[in-house]
Amino acid sequence: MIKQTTTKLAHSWLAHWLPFLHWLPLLNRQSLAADVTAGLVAGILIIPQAIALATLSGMPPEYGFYTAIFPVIVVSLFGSSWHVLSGPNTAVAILTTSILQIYASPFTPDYIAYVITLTFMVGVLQLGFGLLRLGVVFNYFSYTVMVALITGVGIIIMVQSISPFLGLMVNIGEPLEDTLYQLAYSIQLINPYAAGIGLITVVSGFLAKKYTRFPPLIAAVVIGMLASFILELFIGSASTKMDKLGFISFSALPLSVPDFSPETFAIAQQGMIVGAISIAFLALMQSAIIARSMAVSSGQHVNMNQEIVGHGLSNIAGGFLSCFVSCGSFNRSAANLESGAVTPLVGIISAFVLGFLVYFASDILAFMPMALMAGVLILVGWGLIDGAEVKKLLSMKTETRVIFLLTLGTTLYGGVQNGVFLGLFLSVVSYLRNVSKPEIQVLTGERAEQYYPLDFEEGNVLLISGSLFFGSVPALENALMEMEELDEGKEHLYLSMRSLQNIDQASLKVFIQEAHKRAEHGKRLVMLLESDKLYQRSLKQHGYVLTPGRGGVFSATLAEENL
Amino acid sequence: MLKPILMLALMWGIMPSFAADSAEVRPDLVKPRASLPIQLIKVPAPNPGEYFIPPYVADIPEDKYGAVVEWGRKIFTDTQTYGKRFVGNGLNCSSCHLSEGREPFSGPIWAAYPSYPDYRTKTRNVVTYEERVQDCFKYSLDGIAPTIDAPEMEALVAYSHWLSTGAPTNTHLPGRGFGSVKKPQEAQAERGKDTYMSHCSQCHGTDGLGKKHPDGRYMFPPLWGKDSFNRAAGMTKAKTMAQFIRANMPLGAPFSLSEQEAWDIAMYIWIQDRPYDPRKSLFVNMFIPVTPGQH
Ligand code: HEC
Ligand code: HEC
Repeated sequence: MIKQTTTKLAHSWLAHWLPFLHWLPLLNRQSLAADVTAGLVAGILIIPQAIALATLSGMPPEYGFYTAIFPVIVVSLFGSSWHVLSGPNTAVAILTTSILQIYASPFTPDYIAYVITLTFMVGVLQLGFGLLRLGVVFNYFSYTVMVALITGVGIIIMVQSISPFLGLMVNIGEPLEDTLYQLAYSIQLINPYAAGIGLITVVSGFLAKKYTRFPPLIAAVVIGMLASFILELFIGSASTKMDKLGFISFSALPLSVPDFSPETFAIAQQGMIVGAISIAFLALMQSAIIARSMAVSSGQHVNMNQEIVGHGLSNIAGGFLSCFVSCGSFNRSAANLESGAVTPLVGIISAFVLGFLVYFASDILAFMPMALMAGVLILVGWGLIDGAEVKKLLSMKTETRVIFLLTLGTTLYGGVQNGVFLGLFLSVVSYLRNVSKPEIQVLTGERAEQYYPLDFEEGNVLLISGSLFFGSVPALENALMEMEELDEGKEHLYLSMRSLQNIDQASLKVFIQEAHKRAEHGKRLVMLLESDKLYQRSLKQHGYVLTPGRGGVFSATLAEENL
Repeated sequence: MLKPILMLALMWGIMPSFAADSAEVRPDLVKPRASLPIQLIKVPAPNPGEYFIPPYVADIPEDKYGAVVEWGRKIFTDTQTYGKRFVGNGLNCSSCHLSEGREPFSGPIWAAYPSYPDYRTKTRNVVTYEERVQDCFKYSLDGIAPTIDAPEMEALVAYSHWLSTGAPTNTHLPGRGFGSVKKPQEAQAERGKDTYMSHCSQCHGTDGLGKKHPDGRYMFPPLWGKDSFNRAAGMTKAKTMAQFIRANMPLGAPFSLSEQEAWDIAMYIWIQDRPYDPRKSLFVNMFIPVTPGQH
């Protein structure tokens, strides 16, 4: 008996650190079959995104595959959610290039070294968040800000993809409108073959999405590749002058080391630290939102801190395995749930499937036109913009709309990094604004009667819910003033605070003042409470006395000697 | 005038100890291809003053620029590893541009780089250096051209730029291209085969498919077959091939073949199978024969 409990204890302690012990026992014939199918689908689905997002991050395509393999395995083993698939992420990719292209040109060995170091730094930060149990922070991140950031990223990607889409070259890293201007300028240089292939890719993606249940990105890539092969059969690959991806040199164990040596790291240090913080946030924000929404759909209880630890570990591992920063991927996770995944084994299987495919298909992938990839990115970008949601946010005549527009504008014109920081700031501000506005209703006469016990003398009522603290003093004073205009302070005042969570000294002072005022006219100020919790916690210390009343209502008043 | 120089050059090539003393050819030039028998790579040192002499490898600066130059040099000499993404066959840039692109009459880079942008008859327009290099990727390496802004391209340009340190721009430097070979009365592939077997096959193989290291890379590059340059490459032009052969092959004994012999071998190599011309449709490639010298 004793032995059993100890093993159970040991098991739960182990399971805390090795969360996969939770789902390992779930594997049986049935769930294994479901997971293998889902893993196959996920492994194929990631290919176009892995290549496209690697390019977007300024990394050669093979790094996209590494990022779609190793972090996925780590998150599957150490994350909490059973359905989140991690991997390369669009917003993170854009942010990475914008941070690092100042220090080295994308695709060069120096740049690659920076990216790998950055991945490691992000991983350490994230692991820190997780171990300090800061997962709850991500619950407060404003949804509006998130939508604005993602929308901004979608627009940036689409504009950036227009030039490879048309077989053109424009200066990179310029403001959006300059890019558009340049494009208009070089219209006569458009490569019709590239533009044609790009168009076929995008159109087939949209059609597949609309009319079939086939994954749109895969449809787009397959049809685009077929079209380009047929085109080149007739015209000759060199005559089309399309830029191609090139042969991928895939290694099964691409070891790397984060590089903190002074020669390379020092010049980029500052930018990289700030960058790592913003990326860590952006990645976790998305991962957390995805994990939560997966939990809603699947009914699984997700431990957010564990999930964050999983992502942190995956990026730390990524620093040693040639990965750029990864995080939860919404469309892949959703597809995963849809294809019937049961356990995170899917992630591990998908990683192996991907490695296998890349190994054998790299000779075909080599001839993927850049225009096709631009088409894929346009589809990805388009998918990020949730038109209905944006419309809804824009139609709100409140601060939501302001926050949305502010974050979107900053992201588009000031870069994703500034968008993230502004977003964080706005989230905090709007959170504080919301909690500092307790709901207060001013009730008089008959409408007030139902809120105080029958045996009380007639009076007026303030109905208060939420939380009262120094930030809410102005709102409180306003309500009291309103009441004063109605009754000139010559009635009893009952504060119905049944659902009040907390009250601090600053707001108590306001009440004490009011109590003194009413006392001049011989009237009382009574707080009506649900239980004696609030009283024990703060009212007692300020000289209130508590009288239990009928129906479980407690009333607190200032003791005589304090009036 | 030319004869004695050639004789001298020949002797240099044959006597490795002598060549090693030469200031022009330093051992560090040779290192990347250390697996080749060393006397084969030693190139005859040109007469001082006759050809432009590019800077020494040891003089690559130790800064960021130098690092990119060094990277470009690696791509040039070991395209199979450092330019893997863009190569479709078994060759390196330095398979045809010998001695890391320094050798006169094997398309020396120091003569090429300062001459661009230039008009090309092949494409009938003015091309930049980058576009020229793209062509060697597409045709000579039967691969996928890096984009003009690709870092590999930048590295190759940096290497070329460095090799040309001190070279005058826009001048036809002596040694540029592959030299000249007069077209003989008739070139015979039959005869070429015999000469090939006696002069070339010990390195390039009787089947012309080259010889490999145990690691799968070529010690002696293939002259035809799927791992060689394609039907659109400059080397497919019988004339260019003849020029290259006469000025550079057999390795270590340049200008040892007569013009007639060089042409014969070029014709023999030309009739062999190699990857299709990527500028044309598959059907044209399959059914319509090309004529030598068409390009
Ligand atoms: C199969 C042999 C071969 C290989 C391999 C090869 N080239 Fe060439 N290259 C040639 C030939 C032949 C020419 C001249 C073509 C012509 O004039 O028609 C040439 C011309 C050039 C020129 C222009 C020379 C001038 O004087 O104008 C440059 C530059 C060049 N190559 C660079 C490269 C680079 C860089 C690589 C490696 C990526 C490379 N080549 C690989 C055969 C080759
Ligand atoms: C001693 C060995 C040797 C002999 C003999 C030799 N070659 Fe070569 N050849 C080479 C090597 C090595 C290279 C590549 C140069 C380098 O990597 O430095 C080469 C390159 C070439 C190339 C350009 C690369 C390619 O694959 O197309 C051609 C063409 C060529 N040789 C033709 C010939 C012909 C024709 C002969 C006979 C006349 C000949 N070679 C004799 C060693 C030899």
